[in-house]
Amino acid sequence: MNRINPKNLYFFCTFFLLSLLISGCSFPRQKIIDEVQILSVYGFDKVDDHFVGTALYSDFTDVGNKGSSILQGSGKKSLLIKQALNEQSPKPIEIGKLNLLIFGKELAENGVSYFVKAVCRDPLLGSNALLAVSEEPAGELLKKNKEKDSNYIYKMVEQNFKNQFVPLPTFHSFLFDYYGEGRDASVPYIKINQNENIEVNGLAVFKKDKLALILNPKESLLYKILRGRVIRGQTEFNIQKGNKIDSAILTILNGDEKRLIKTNKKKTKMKFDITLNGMVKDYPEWLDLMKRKNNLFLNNQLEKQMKEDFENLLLTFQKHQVDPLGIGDLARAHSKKWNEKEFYENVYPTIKFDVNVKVVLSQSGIGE
Amino acid sequence: MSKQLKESLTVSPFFLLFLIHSTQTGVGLLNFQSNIVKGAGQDAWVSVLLVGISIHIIIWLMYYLLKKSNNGDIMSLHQQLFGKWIGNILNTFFYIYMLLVITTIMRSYIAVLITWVFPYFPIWLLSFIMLFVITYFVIGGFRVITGICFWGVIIPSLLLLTSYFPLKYAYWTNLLPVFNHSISDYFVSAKYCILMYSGPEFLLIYFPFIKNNQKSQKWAHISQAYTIILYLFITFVSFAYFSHGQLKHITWPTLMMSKIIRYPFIERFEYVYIFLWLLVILPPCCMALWGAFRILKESFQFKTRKSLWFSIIIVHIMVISLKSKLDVEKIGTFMTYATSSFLYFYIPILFIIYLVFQAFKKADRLGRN
Amino acid sequence: MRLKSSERNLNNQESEKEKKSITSIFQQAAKSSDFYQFSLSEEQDLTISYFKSMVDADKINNLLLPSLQEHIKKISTINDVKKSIPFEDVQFTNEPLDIEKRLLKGYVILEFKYFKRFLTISVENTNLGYRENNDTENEFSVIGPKVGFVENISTNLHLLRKQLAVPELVFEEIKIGSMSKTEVVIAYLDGITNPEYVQTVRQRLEDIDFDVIFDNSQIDQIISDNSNSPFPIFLSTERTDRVVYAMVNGQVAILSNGSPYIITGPTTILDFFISPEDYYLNWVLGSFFRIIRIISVIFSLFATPIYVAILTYHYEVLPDDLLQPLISSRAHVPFPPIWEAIFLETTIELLREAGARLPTKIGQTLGIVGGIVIGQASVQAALTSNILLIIVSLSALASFTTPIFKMSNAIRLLRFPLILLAAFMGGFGIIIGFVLLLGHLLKLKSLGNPYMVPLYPFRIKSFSDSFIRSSYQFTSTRSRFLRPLSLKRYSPNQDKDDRNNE
Repeated sequence: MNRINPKNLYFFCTFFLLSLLISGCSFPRQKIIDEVQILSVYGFDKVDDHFVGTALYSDFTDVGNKGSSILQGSGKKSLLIKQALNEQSPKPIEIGKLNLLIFGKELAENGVSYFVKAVCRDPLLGSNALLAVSEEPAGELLKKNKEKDSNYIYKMVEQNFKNQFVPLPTFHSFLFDYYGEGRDASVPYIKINQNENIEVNGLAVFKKDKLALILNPKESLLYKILRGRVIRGQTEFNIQKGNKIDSAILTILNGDEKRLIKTNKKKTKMKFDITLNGMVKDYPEWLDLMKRKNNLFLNNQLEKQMKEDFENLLLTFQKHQVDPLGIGDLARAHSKKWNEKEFYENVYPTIKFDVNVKVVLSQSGIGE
Repeated sequence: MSKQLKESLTVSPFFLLFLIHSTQTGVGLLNFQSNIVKGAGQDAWVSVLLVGISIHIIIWLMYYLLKKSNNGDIMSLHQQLFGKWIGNILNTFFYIYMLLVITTIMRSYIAVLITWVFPYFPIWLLSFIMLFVITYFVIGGFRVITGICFWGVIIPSLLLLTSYFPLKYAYWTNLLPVFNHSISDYFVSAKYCILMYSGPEFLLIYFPFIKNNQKSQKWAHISQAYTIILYLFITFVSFAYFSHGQLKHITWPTLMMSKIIRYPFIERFEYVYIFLWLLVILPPCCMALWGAFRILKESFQFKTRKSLWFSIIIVHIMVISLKSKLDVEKIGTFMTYATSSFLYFYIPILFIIYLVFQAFKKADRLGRN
Repeated sequence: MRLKSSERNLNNQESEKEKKSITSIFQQAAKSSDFYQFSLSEEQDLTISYFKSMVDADKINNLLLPSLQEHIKKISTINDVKKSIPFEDVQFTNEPLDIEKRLLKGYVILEFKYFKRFLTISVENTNLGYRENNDTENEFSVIGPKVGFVENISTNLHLLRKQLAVPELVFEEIKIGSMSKTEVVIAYLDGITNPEYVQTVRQRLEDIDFDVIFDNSQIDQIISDNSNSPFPIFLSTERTDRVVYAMVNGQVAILSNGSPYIITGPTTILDFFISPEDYYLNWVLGSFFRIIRIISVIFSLFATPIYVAILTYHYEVLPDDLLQPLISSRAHVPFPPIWEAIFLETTIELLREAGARLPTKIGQTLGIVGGIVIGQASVQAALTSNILLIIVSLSALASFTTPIFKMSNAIRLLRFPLILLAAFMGGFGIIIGFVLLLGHLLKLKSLGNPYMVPLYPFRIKSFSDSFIRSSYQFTSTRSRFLRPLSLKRYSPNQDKDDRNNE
């Protein structure tokens, strides 16, 4: 009954030995984690006719080293830049764990299509990595980060997405908008402030692949609300009662956004229904929110101001011929025939916007 | 007329559910979205549905033919209808088709591996390793192949749970407007769907290995229905996840979709997808290789081991001779035509020939009487 | 081939022996110092001969000799002797072969020269050379009986019959071993166990040609369906409750004299992760521990290979926060992860092996001291990273949760090829290893029954006692995949009414 098939055994043994042998001189290039240089931030700038790439990484093999290291290289193609970085590095450069990609403002204005094709679509990069445009050249900005952890900027942008005014800044959402018909991409806009610190300062809106418009933080929040999905953040607004003028803070906890597009023969109407749940903080002392009348008044003022702000923002988009909200996409979805070029040339500038804002205030004044 | 082999070799008809479904899923599931979108755009799901339903009819035709054939497989049917010589020539074509199926699947999977994980890995080695695994299963016989078909459905099905992540980012307006394409657009999409529905043709070979096979048709149709539902689900998820226009720029949308999945302990889930996909591509490869040597055995009485080694070497040579991405695309296109002409052209013709043959026989018998 | 020829030699010898006279047998025996031969009285010519090492000396001195001396004068016919001797197994024989065999088995041979007849009396000391203690030594459980099997087969049979007090319990005896002539018993429940399995076991046992059977595990290997598999095909256990449970479910048990381990079959892979304790605990707890055990097997198999694969090829998979500790712990390790992992895994295996060979008390000390000291030192000497140390020791710990020793050995062995494959091709290597393992398991059979059942072939009805141990209400039937002759085990209790709630 002892059925040892010598042929099988022989085969198994050779396979086993073969695998042993091959693992000694393995074929694929190994990427042992402490023997590669794992970049966390990559920035691109345009200088004259070539590109400059700046990379930021932390060298974890040196335990005492707290800051991050910088490599800079230039070339006409992204691979040449990588090669230039490799020339300065003791370990091979790996971009697989890239968390943040920064385009300098100048490069963004000239068009990023090359980098979208060459870098953003690299299967090595994750869809959860972030994108940003910097006011200064990316190289200069990254040099300011030398003292800090290499993921500092990435964490900063992510924090502002989760709690503040920055809309979803991932590669996926960028590519979704960038390639989407009837959509324009938008990414966070970062800069160095007066104190030589890096901060998120609004939103850069692209038209096709070129930077077309920069929004300030407040507009950016309004845009985030209009975009729907993650509605959170806080904004300042004015209160005017009689001759008293002061400002208060509206903290938006959550909300709901609905869009409706109506196309008549000539006119296209776009309607936004926005419901915001939030609370007002830091309101002036002369406004007693324990009174129902004042509460209603506050609500009215708020809704009016918000509506105005929203409509102004939409007009700005119209004026700059950008469509980061995907209104073209919505029009496409609701019409049998749709042509991107025709829509943006003829229809988009004439769209009438109507924004209905409903603010539901709760827990106002808590914390006093 | 024993259409069923002895019981120790057969599997219960319930396993048809896994046999048909797992041989249908393959590498096509990674990239069909970006192909079908070329035709009917966001309406391409209609093509997915219609092609799926048409396969139901093909399965019905196959069952009709198989029930009437001598040994319950296509090899004996060919010999029965066309005589030994022509029948064997047709069997040889079917054999080549089987080898091409393995080659296409393996080479496309290797292309995924090389692009996403191992850019420096030589093709011959990957092909060798995969053929080793496939052979290991095929040597075990049909019941072991059924086993891998079973696990090739169960384990990758766990990946379906991860579609929660892309659904978080879904824009359902991407599916609108419905039905704004012309019929020809739907046909273009349908053409790209056919390859991923191919798989029921193996039934023509393993039919005698099904217990109570005369009454097993129900399971085949249930399996096909499940395939349609799964494909529609994936189609909808990926159409909602990718914007209009984005899909055209992506080679492997399913893998691209898996990139968004993120757990605290594993940041890049696409690696899990790529590696687990081996379990998805193994069933059709094993089945095709098994079918290949079964054809040789049944029609030319070749010895099992020899025909197996022969087939493996041919497949290996074919795989390593497809060097560039363009070659992979070319063989994919070729297989699309081969499969569609086999399923939609050859099987109905075989059906008609059989009916004519039967009518002649009847007339003959009547005349004699 | 060699075995067969040696058997032929033995056969030849036997045929020669037939010609041998009884005196020559005694002459041969007299060369041994433990052979005793003496006469009781001159006139009757009564010679007594035996091997002192095989007999119970008390019985000879207190029972046999006095009764012989008492009755010796009155003997007129040979049958009188039989009546006067207070032993059950008393036989006449003149066959030299019989006499030789019985002499060696511990019989006393009485030679009546007057009658020219030989009388053989069984005074074998069956307990001689066996331990008294029958606690379970290796398969420990907190709850439940701690009775285990011992080397003595009659004790073992007694233990079985005590628990299965039904006439359907059948013991079939076969002698195996051309030199040892070991008693091997096939035990099964008639009318429950599928006769096919009994027949297969009987056939395979009868086909065995081996010289000396030291332990049941040799039989296990000889009769297994695939002896090239690292997986145990039969479940070998020293616990009585396990064997009884297996037999109640329709399995066959094989006992052999001299082995405290009993093998049961046909088994399925899940049987090896079941501990009897699962049935003694509440089903919720029992299921929980069983799931923990199965997860720990998966962890133990794949943890180190995944570590090697990720650190060698797929650093992208690591979350940001894990990257830093991993890199800084590996920063000064001069080897690639594969050597690091192999080094540590081998160390753990060394510790285990050394612990198993050393006496219990020293072994435990060595385990602790070796584990802590070697682990700490190798991290400080930058031979390994401390994260790998955690992974390796955890997976070693996890592999020890498997209740059956042979299975946990198989799992520890399988880790090594998986680590090599991971070092060779990263995640792809792991999946290749996994698929090959799956294929191997799909091919395996135990007594012709698929090894993977009820997972594949899929038997949804048998899942009530597989990954989970559901309540006794749902396990009232035997597993269908064992094809028992009767499915019903017991009628489950009805739910107790909650009287307060009426």
